[in-house]
Amino acid sequence: MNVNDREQVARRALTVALRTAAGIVGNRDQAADIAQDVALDAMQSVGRLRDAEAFDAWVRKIAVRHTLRALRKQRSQPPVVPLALVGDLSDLSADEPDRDLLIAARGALAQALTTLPPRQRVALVLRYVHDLNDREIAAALGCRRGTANSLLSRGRAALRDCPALQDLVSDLEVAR
Amino acid sequence: MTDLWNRALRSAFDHARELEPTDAEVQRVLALDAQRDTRRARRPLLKVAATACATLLLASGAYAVPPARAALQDVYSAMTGWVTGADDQAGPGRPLEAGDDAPAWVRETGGEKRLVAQNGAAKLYAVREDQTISFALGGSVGLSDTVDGWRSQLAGTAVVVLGPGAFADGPLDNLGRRPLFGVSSRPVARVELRYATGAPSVQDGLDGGFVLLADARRDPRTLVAFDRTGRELDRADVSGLDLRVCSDPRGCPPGRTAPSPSAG
Repeated sequence: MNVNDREQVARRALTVALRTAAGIVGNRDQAADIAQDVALDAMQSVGRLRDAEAFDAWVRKIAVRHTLRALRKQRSQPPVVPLALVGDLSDLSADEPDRDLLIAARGALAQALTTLPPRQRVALVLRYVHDLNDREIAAALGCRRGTANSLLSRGRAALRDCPALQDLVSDLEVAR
Repeated sequence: MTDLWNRALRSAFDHARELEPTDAEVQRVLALDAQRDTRRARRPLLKVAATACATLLLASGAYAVPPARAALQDVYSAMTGWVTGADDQAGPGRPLEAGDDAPAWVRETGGEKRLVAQNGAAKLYAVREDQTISFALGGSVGLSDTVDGWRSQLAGTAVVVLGPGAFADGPLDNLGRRPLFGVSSRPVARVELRYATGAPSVQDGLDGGFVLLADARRDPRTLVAFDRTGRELDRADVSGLDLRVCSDPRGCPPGRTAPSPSAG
């Protein structure tokens, strides 16, 4: 990552921010707005970043801050054009024995995720979109490691308790 | 927690994990960043000699041209004169005429009304009343927001999908197509809706908006906007759009792409 290359910085910052924000808000258009603000902040301050290797983690932290702020605003002003994102099904092989179950579960999960408190959603996004460990999640959220772990556990538990997922959870437990 | 449960949870985020910014989004950030640098550079110029000041301002003005031009080409800028009431002729499409079969709520609303786009019987209308702009997606769906609200939705992009709607007699035509409505910036002359498989749906000759007849049996992926020369201006990820119509009040089950036989 060459932090002196403006286009490279813009593209990487947008990518990291877009993935983070889209996972949290579930809407590409809204995520793109947030990502643009994050990328502009990153471009303005990248000269102060000491370790270029820490670029992604640094951008993720900015993205989390911007997205949580956007969610706070959204409470009083719901989006006019909601476009719920669902996953691409092409990655699941037709031979996958649990394909139908996985497809049903991912659709229901995508809906259920929108009901979680923002910080739990952020913790799950950082784990399942960016594959971060508890320590890295804590750094992005600006909290202690134990708090990050607790947010993840409570997020997962809330999803399992979600009424729309009850039957699917049982099926998923039985399937393995 | 089972492996399958973890996989399901992980796959719920697949859409986010694979997202990439478009070239237009990257260029927009670079332009906005350059614009900000230009503004910052202008402040100390007030203190230098008049000749040097004029020269430097000219130079910084020239530097500011690309972002300014880019800003003029987004959807909001294309209708700024109309939405702010400064120029009623600057709106998208054409003014509503007596023969247009607009929905009753459009006809009965006061203010300035326009037919933004149409494709056969499916039409997109816009109504400006005081500080509120409303779009009618065919006869079934209306979207309203303040001018400021629309600015945040439409600025910085050449094409915005408003959503799927319906024909006057139902959501689908006899070919299983559903109207997909959107607004576009002035330079956009053509939009293409690309699917996971098969040929795209296309509409040409745009004037500020579009009504695509989208195949409800296929998964939409990307909406691409072109100018009159065929140059790509922008693209929008529409993989989250569900064009299916199901009679079940809970909506369509995930993963099934064929529309309900009872629909339409």
